[in-house]
Amino acid sequence: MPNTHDRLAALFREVFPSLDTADVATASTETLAEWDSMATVTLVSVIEEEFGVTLTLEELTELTSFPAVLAWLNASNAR
Amino acid sequence: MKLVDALRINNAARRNPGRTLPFNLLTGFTPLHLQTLLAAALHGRLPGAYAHIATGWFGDLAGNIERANTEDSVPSSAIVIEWSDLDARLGWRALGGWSHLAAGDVLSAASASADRIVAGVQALATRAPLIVLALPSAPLPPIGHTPRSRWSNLEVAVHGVAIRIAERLMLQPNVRLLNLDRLARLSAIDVRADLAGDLATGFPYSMHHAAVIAGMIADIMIPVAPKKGLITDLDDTLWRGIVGDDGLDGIANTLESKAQEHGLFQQLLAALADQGVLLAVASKNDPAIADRALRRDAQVIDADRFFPVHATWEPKSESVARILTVWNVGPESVVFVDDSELELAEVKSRYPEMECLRFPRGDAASVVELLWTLRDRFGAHIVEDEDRLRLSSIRNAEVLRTVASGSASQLDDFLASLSATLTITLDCSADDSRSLQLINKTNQFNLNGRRLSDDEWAAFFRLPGAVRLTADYSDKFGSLGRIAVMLVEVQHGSARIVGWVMSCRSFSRRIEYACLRAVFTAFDLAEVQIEFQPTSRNGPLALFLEKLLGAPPAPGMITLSRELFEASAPVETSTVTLHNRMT
Repeated sequence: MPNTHDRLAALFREVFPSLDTADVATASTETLAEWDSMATVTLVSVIEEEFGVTLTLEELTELTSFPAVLAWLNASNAR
Repeated sequence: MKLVDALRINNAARRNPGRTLPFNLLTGFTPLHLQTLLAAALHGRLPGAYAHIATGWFGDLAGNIERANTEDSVPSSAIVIEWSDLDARLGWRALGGWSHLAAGDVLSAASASADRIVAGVQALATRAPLIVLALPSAPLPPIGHTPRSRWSNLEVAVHGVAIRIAERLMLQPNVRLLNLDRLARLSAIDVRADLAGDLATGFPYSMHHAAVIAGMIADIMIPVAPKKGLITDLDDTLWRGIVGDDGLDGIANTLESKAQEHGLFQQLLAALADQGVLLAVASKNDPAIADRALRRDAQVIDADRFFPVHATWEPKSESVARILTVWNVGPESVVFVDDSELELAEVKSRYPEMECLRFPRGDAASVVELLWTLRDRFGAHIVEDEDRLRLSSIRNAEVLRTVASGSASQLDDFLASLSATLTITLDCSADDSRSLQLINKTNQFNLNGRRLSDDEWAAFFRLPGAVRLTADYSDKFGSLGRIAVMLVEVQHGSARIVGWVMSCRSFSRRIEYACLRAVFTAFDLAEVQIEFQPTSRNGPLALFLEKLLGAPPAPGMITLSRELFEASAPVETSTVTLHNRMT
């Protein structure tokens, strides 16, 4: 089974289809114009589906980059 | 369907769009995942197309419907109503009060909103090819004063408001309503809503509920072609018992004889026959005994509804083969029902494309499921008068086929004896659902296999020089109704035939020659271009072109001169009337 990084990267590429594979790891709300509030909701929904987790509204507002989401997922797995 | 799967499907369609098809999704809530899931469901039904879905503004469903109608063109539209579209107090995002004292005001506001929605949809329906309307399906909030087990007066009243929206729109020919009973079977009321999502984003549905609604909308927007015929066994299927062993008095299909499920099966078959479905019998039986059993007073369905009736001792697949020949339909368009797994397997081994369903005798719950399955397989959004003529025309076609197997002069004499009249009409309006239906269900005499959505049909008639030729046929055996449609682009003294279908019921009557002759004559043409593409099923049309051209037709644009046509065309045997309604 692919690791968390690769599974999350695959989700990013589906939510942001214009995103090059090489740019996924550095993707953030600053670098991606299409990462708006609706894209955030879609991203959170596919993450919840894929990883079986639930994000709160507070957590959601802090997860503004691929590294931040990955770190949150790794921490969530560790809990 | 998971959201990520929907995104994957949509991204693939966006990367390789063969054609882009516009749709509207009009809601008062944030369409969000419903839009994504609907696009994916449409892509699943429209291979090679990209569905572009336009949406409206948050919190203004009636306004969204009205604004959609101000666009230059209006595509097929899905309208999904929620309680908060009728009055914000019926949702979760407003704090306007849930007191029973406000019930009268809530109801009054809801009725006014409903009136505006109905007026908007009625206006939109004059321009949109198709509208799919979903009534509110999320649970109501705890408004009022009654305990949950009791339906409060306000709940009854607002449900009444919603139902009256449906009642006022259901007779619009291009408005189709999402079936709330089916929705309830697929999505239980307590898993439909997502309050957290609603409060955070304005999207009120759980992912499951959104996926179910999206799938149902797509089912209605892009319906699969219904099956055309049903072949049934007799013993322990159409009735309980073995008529050869038990005798006429030993078989049953009524409540009193504890065989009601067989009567219900017959009742459904009779309803299918009324909508034009072909019915036939394949039974291992003595033909005389089977005929007497089919004509018993207790039968719910009339014996004459079945044609042909094959009661023989040969393998069932042989009987099925003969029935398919008489019907002139492919096995993929037919359902076979029998109580015996062995017989089903024998037919399936010869016709893998045929759906073979077991009649579950003695198991009432499974019979109910079978009846619903059959209703789905034969489900038609529109039943035209022509559909009900199908059986009589097939009986006549069988006579014709027998004669046609004789000499050419015999056929000329026979066709001349039919006193046939063929009415050919030239028109340039899209207002003809029967013609679109014929294009989308005809396989054998089909110029290029191209299917058209409602939007593509409407778009064709916006082209300069777009002409629809239709042919209606009748003879001494009765009317066949609308049996041929040709789509022609006529410009500057030349004509290109881009679509052409003819019902298999009308083969061997030389109607195809009359249609071509009408095009040559009406537009005074020396030649026509014919856009032919072979498909796995359109052999009869290829054979017709081969007869005209003297060689098998090549895929692509074919040029047919009037001179060659007249040299190849046989004698006209119908009285042809040409109506030119082009303006």
